[in-house]
Amino acid sequence: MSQDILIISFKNVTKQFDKDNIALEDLSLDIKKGEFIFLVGKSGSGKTTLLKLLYLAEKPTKGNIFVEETDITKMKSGEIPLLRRKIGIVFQDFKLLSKKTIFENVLISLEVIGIEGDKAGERVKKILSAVGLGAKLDKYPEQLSGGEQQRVAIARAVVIRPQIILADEPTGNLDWGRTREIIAIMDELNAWGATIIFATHNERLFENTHRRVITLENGKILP
Amino acid sequence: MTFNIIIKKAFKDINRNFAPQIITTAIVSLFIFILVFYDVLSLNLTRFVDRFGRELAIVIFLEKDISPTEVPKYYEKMSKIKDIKKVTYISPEEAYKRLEENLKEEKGVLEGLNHNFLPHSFEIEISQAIQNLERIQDIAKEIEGWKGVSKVLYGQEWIQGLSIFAKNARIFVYLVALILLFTAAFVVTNAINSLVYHRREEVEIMRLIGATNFFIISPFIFVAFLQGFVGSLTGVITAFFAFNKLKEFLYTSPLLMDIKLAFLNINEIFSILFISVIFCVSGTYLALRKSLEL
Repeated sequence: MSQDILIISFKNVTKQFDKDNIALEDLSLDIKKGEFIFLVGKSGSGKTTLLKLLYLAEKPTKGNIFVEETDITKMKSGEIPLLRRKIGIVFQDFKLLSKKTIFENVLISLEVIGIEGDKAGERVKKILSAVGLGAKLDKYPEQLSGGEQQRVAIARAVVIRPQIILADEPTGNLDWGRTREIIAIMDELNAWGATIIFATHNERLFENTHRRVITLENGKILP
Repeated sequence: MTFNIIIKKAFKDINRNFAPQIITTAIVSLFIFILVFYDVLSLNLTRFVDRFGRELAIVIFLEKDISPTEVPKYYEKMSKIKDIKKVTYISPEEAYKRLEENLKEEKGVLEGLNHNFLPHSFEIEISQAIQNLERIQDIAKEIEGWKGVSKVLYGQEWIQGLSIFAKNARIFVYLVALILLFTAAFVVTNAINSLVYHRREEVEIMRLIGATNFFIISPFIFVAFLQGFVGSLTGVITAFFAFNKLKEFLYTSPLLMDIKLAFLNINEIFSILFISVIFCVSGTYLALRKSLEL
């Protein structure tokens, strides 16, 4: 049923950084609730810009973007945190805090939405166990492998139970074994109902997939 | 709930950067100590001047030809003037007696003179004379214009000198206070900015995961509040102990005459704490707005 409800909609969106640098051009795209989408394209094709527009790290030059029927391009700066709480973001470079343990790195997501204490602690432990890091709560990011760090980043993104997960090249630095682990976690999150946009340039990931694949080239969606 | 998280984060920040935070608080204490020192100095100077000011009075001499029956009219008129505490009539006989006493061994020069040769006169005391130096002049000028008054004496130069000194001392203290408070706020602001710099990565990530500006800046503001409050309280307490030591030392000094040295009252202390905190917090808030592009 949820497959028919639109959760994200890009309407004629253009993002131009300067005169000769158009990252996205007149892009329109609808994403239904519960979809798992592979956003593919070469480096510089506009994948990261598209994701950044969704969590308003960038604003479009033209066009409108709707998230759950709200035009986020018209949001005031004070409303942006509320949008971001609906979205879990997994970055290619993990963006973990080196001076905090992995427990604290995940806890911070709950703290910003006002959840603390035992309840928050239990939730963090549960999610870290789910991604296979239940025994490494007190480790610091630098004590973990690349794949483990990426799993911490995923745990941080999903601990707030977001409706949308944006993953920007989350397997870019991982070997095939670790990549499959990450895909499996994403599959599970999708099965729980999260809408996932998975940006990658690794063709192997979507070769034989039944998921929708959106290919970007020079800021446009290929038919 | 969020408040607990903010307080915990603030204390973690202090813990992580303990030495710089303590140094900043100590600098605030030093500035507040100097400020209180100047304020107490100014307060006691005013009391010192007030001690002499209590004796300030206006002396009015009537025309020689004023008859004794007319004197009560002047007394009544003077008593009705606002701010006059006491009017004392000095009869010509009483004035003669005082003159004799003042001349001591040389009172012989008065021989042969009538005991009534001096005019009827009055001494006027003004309420809170030292705070009313300008009022003394105004009253003197007013009485000087009355018919039947020959001369009004009120030590104009002495009064003007006192007035200028008292005013300048206060202005100086206010200026020093302002400079010290601005400097204290500047030091705290810089310390917080360095804290922000160390946590810039965390702030960036917190923003990306949905932290509000309030959530991000509150721990920094709380640290600034603590530095302003603890720093100024320590400064005031240190100044109080230093003042008591000085008081013990000067206790037997003849210089003090009968003047009791006073420290700031509770309202002044609270004002200093409040203003110090306001300066530190608002300075930090403005700096955060700039550095975090709020």
